Amino acid sequence: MHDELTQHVIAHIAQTHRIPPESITPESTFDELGIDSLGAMSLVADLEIEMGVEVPNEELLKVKTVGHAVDSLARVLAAGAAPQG
Amino acid sequence: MSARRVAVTGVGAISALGADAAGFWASLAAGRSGIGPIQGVDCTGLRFANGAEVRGYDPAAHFERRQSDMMDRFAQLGVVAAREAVAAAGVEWTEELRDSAAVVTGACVGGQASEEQVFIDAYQNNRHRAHPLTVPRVMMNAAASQITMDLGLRGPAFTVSSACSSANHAIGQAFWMVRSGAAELAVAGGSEAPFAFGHLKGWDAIRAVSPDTCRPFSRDRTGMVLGEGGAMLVLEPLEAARARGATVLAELVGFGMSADAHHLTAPSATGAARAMRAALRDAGLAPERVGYVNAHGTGTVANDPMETAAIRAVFGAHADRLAVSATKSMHGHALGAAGALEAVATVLALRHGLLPPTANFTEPDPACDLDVVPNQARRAEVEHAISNSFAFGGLNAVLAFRRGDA
Repeated sequence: MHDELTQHVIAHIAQTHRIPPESITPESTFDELGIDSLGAMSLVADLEIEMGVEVPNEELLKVKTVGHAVDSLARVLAAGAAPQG
Repeated sequence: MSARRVAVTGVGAISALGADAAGFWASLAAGRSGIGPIQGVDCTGLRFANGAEVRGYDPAAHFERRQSDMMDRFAQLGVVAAREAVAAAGVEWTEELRDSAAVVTGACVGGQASEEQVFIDAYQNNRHRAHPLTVPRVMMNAAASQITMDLGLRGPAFTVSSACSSANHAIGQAFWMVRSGAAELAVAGGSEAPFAFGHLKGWDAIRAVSPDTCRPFSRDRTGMVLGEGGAMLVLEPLEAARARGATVLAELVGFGMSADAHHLTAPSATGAARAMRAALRDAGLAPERVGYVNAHGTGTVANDPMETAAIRAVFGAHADRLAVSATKSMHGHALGAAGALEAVATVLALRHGLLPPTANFTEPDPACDLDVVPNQARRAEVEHAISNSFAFGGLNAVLAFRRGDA
């Protein structure tokens, strides 16, 4: 699921936090990656702005892993795309 | 306890005149202005299009992305200048010294670009949520906080905001803390990055900004030109500096403040004069011993004759023997960083025995009849100098310096 999006999110985290991309998986928690909650929220916010979407607030607070972030973004992307499809 | 003498042992500056203090000084010495067309903001619809921007600044050259993401441009410029000043001072850090090292920064308008972005997101893009880093980027104390974290300084730290006098007030507070023993070292100065369209609209409306360039003390002056940058000084007890063999660039010997209690934007010569007198009194300095004044010198119709009258009131006949220059003609008016840039200019002028000129000077104004060192830097071994800052809102702050080691 969401392979391309997963790779994009991992590449973004790798670039901004100087973490080798191969050490980041969907199961990685932000905590394990040394990214605090503000850092995680900031990452998602940067990706939201880039993609022109918004993850609902209540979901944002629950994002603990890279996979959670990908799923949340995928959901709002799909919702945004729905009217056309 | 008797008051300690306070040395300036390092300076850092990033400005329209260059990426470091050496570039800043080279431009000042050459009388080269950094004012030019504003590139960072589309100025369509504004009455002015020139500014003194830091050109070619690349955050990645100074910060990891995760660090620069936390900071507005104004805070980054402050950290860059602080790093340079501390490196230049060659401070030998101990844990004890870190615990008593102060950081005092000036800022007038804070994270304008970050603030503008949140307004665009909210009002134009109809986003429901702002970027989570908005507040830490915008807050006025961001530069001070980031400097403490970047350099590991854990003593008194805060930010002073008094418009165009912010940095002089900040340096003055740091000076008094080092002098009194409340801090064993201080990093003090200011930083500012005001180039955001909405903020520029505000300046446009106040009509103090020149449509072309900044010509302080010239008869045909048309206003100030906004600038940006960061400048910091390292202050430490003179004895400690000498004991560790540090180069004493200058001594900071006096600080004076006053309020006009007069008008929000129209300055008062009596208020400015009282701040200069207070600085001289704090330094125990007779007016006749001052050889150079780095003027507030904004190039506005209102400031320059007022400042001339204030200098004449303080220095009497000696005013005709004083060299007075306005370096804002070159680095622009960097608001909360202005006093810090001018403090660095003053320290380096004393050190190099060269007084930076008032650039862009065209013709004398009888209402500004001082020796304003027009267009050409001048060799002069000066023993003492003062640096003036007078703010919107009538808050004045003046620093007095003495030449350091030969």
